[in-house]
Amino acid sequence: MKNYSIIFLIFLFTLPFNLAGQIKYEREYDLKKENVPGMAITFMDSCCPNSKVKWYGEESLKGLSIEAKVYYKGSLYSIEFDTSGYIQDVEKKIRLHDISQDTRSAIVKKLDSIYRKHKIDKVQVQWIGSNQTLYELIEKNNSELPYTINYEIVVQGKKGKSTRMYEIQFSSGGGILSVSEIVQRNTDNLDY
Amino acid sequence: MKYIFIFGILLLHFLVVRSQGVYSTGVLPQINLNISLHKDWRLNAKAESRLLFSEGQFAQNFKTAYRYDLTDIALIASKKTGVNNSLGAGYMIRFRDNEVVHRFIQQYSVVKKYNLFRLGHRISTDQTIRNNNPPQVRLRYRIGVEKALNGKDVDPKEFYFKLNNEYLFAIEGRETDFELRLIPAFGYALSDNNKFEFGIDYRLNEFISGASRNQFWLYLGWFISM
Repeated sequence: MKNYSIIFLIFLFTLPFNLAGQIKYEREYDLKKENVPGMAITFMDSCCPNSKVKWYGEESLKGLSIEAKVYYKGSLYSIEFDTSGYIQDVEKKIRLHDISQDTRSAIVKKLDSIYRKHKIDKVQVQWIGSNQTLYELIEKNNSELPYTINYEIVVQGKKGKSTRMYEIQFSSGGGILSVSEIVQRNTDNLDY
Repeated sequence: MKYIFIFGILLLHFLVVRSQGVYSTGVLPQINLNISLHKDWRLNAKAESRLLFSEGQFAQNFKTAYRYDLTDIALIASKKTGVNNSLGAGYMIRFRDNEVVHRFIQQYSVVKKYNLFRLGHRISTDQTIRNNNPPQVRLRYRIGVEKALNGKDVDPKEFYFKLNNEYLFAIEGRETDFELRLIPAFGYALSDNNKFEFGIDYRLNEFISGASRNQFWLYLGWFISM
């Protein structure tokens, strides 16, 4: 059996690594503050003072972007910037019940019509507007200035016999703007 | 900092049990081949070997004693029962000296993604049949966390840290035993379907009934999915 163990070890370390790169994912990585555009840092310093900001770079089919994640006044915010530091949108994690009743009913009705069964995992409100508007929204949760409000919902939805995970973007009225299936990462190294 | 803390806990434990009990050290290489099948079914084939480098009592001088110990070959079929969970059952055969051991395995696992890490739970039972021994039944629970060392998710060509902690309760005839396992490991994802892991697999048992038995394995894992 000693010989088998040596063969096993050789097998383990010498097989070619030909299975790499079969699935493409968006790539994200930690970003040091000194590599973040000044405008993005200024926005974060103004909107969320004395809060620890984590910066991430994200590469996707849409291109490069920069994301700031911060807990501010008890809520988790994801704030997206372009590579020049111009703000793209603000997302705040909320509960479903934080959405107005009319919109919430419309969202649930839509989910009921698409899936046999569904379970909501995550709800985020997305705000798009000027810097001043976004400051006010982060600070007071509302603004008199014009802005766009959408909702991003991550849901486990059952169609037929299989359950998948989806990210669905809803408008402020509860209409569906986009649906995309979330490709789940391989879990084998945590299952076995 | 947290890695130093984990290492510190291990070191502290090592020092506490040093004067009593027995130990063994060695290397534990394993290959996990996972094949996706139709309708959310998966097949996991695992081969694992144990090579001992030394064994003895803590109070005595360290002696090296290289020897091959055993090889396990296991096959588990599992079905996804939800987005995050799966139910599986399988069989393992163990070759040790001239003995062949049979084990039947049932398991339920849940892996959930959080903002900055993934958390896995696994509950499993197994029944082991050996010649001239009463059957052994074990109940196991494992919790594992995986954290990317760069960014929020483990992307291809990135390193990650994984910590598994497992509790095993075993009944064999009239005897019972409790085992603890702690496996801190670093991993490298060549791709999402091809990952290498290396770390320390520490196992502690027989600490209730008498002198503790401590096993320190150099864990080398390779997970391939297709």
